[in-house]
Amino acid sequence: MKSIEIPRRRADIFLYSAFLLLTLVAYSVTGSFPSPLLAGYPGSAMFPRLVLIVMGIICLFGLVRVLISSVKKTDAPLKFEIGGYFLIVASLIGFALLLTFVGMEVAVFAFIAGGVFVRSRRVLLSAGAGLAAVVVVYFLFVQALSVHLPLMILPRYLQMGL
Amino acid sequence: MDLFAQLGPALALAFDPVSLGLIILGVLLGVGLGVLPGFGGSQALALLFPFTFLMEPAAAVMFMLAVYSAAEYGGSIPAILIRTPGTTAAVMTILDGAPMAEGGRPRRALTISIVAGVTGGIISTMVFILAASSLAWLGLKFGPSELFAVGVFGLSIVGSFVGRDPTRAFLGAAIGLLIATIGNSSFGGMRFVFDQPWLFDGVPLIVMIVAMLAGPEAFRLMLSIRIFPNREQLEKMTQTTGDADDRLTFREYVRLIPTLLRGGLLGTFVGALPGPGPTMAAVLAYNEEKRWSRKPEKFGTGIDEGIAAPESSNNAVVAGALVPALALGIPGSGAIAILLGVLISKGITPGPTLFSDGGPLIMAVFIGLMLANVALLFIGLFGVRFFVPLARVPSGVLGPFVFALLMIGVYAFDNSFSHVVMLIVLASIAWMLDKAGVSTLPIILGFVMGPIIEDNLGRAMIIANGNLWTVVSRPITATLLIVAMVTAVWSYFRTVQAERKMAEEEEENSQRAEGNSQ
Repeated sequence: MKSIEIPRRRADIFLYSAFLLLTLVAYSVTGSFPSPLLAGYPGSAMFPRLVLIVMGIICLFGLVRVLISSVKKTDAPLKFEIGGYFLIVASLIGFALLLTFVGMEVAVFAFIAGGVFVRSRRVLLSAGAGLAAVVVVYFLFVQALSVHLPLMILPRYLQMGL
Repeated sequence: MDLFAQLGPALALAFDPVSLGLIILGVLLGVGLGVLPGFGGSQALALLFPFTFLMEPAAAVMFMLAVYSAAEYGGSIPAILIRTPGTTAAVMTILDGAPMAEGGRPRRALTISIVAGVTGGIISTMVFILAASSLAWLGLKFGPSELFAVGVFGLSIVGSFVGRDPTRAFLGAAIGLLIATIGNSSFGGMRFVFDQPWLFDGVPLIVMIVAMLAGPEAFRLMLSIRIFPNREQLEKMTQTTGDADDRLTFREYVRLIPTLLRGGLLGTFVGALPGPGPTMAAVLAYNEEKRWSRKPEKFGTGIDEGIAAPESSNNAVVAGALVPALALGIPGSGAIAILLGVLISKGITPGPTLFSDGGPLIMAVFIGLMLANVALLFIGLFGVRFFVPLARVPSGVLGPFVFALLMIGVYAFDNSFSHVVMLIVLASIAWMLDKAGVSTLPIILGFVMGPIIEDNLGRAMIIANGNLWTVVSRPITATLLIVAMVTAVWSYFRTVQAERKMAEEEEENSQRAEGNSQ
């Protein structure tokens, strides 16, 4: 899997700059919040503005500290497994879409069987794990906890103990 | 505030067959999850949070406390047997637990771990009921401005103790506070919703807890999906012998009691501070035990005290952390934030009024903790062999199962697809932040504390006719805010000092290496 290495100092500068920018944008958004209803009554913008001011100060302080400090030999670069990260995010989005549009059975089976196959490279084991996961989720969530999961094949009316 | 008048109803609640069953189930699940690599108390609680939806409030809290206590113990099993801590707090248990197990006495190490954990848990439970009711009595005297200051003070301590860099910890707390403001405001109007209906109710606590506390670990597990451990070595390390020296006698347990008392009390104190958590409690207990021992050179070779001190301390944190959480509504750790989340999801507001108007709940928590410790003792002593195989489960296998459970659990909360999307987005951000050194613990604490701080500040401002200075200049409020500021500044200078010391050591090492090469 592809991974990238970012020098610690550069990562810190990016972190504080990104949040500083977010703070400024969020502060400008608070201007559209409703005004206080009565005199002496705190409006809905007061607390977010206080938080954003504190956050801005923290970001500025962090940024200045990073910029004035020297690079240390012990500062290991940050390693991001970027390939794996995006693959996981994509598979999670895939799971969410399958859950909504196709049903729990297919979503859980595909997600678990796919994950186990990536590790074991064994089709039967992966399919078995996927099926077992569907059964466990069905009985635990749908039957025992009465959660309304979107179902395609398995019935909702089946009751425990019948 | 006569808590003991509630003893009868609380006993009935705790000894209800369903509650008892849930406590035992909680202990079993807690030990099982604690044994698994990467699962600490917070992760175990985050994973099991959705299952509390159908439980009564007292039963849900007792179940979660049983899971938390048991997970803290469970982490010591792989630490002792395979030198891999199941929870971060179990790191100190490796130092003496692993050498003892490798020396052919794994059962003794595991027995010391369980009796120390249970003793620490019982000590801190006793302290909890006494200290929490006194603190709640004090809390009842506080008005909104003082409660606002208590909240700020709690966050300042969290920022000072979490991670190596307090700037990042404070940034995390601010992020949490900001996320808490999303959605419908109690002061009128919507905030940061950008006309998206699914944001009108804000980010649900369960989504936030699961994403921030279990999300990064789930990502790590998924990323290690193709990493394979040395199975032969694992099998060899988890084999037990049946030698007489491999058992702990009652007399040996009695000899350990001073160590257990010290560890238990230290753990309770550390637990009551917002921020440090069980890992710091275990480190402090081990170091203090070594410092005051007559045989400090034996530490690290597999001695009883080296296991007993950190184990009693890290289990004592559970009840210790409940003191400020239930008495003042300040969660000191991620796990406790989840416990407060359980109460909030049941419509119960944690804080001093819980002690005066909360009925038998507090007493039921006290009895539930005692029962959880008793159940843990029996399950730990007689059932540990059934949990040992779990220590051999490679972490890579768990990733897909954990993520599927998290997403279905979050969906189950409100049958909402948007919550699943929120979980994916927030967990992805949490993993990135965690990589960048911003701990997700202050984020979750900021998120939980946000509404409490804002509501109390708002009420105080209304009383003071909108004058912020009148609010912050009240004597107790001003004192607490000044202490919060001093704590934050002190934590910064402490970090700078530690960094300078590290740089000096680094320079010395490089000079020594240069000298050697010449």
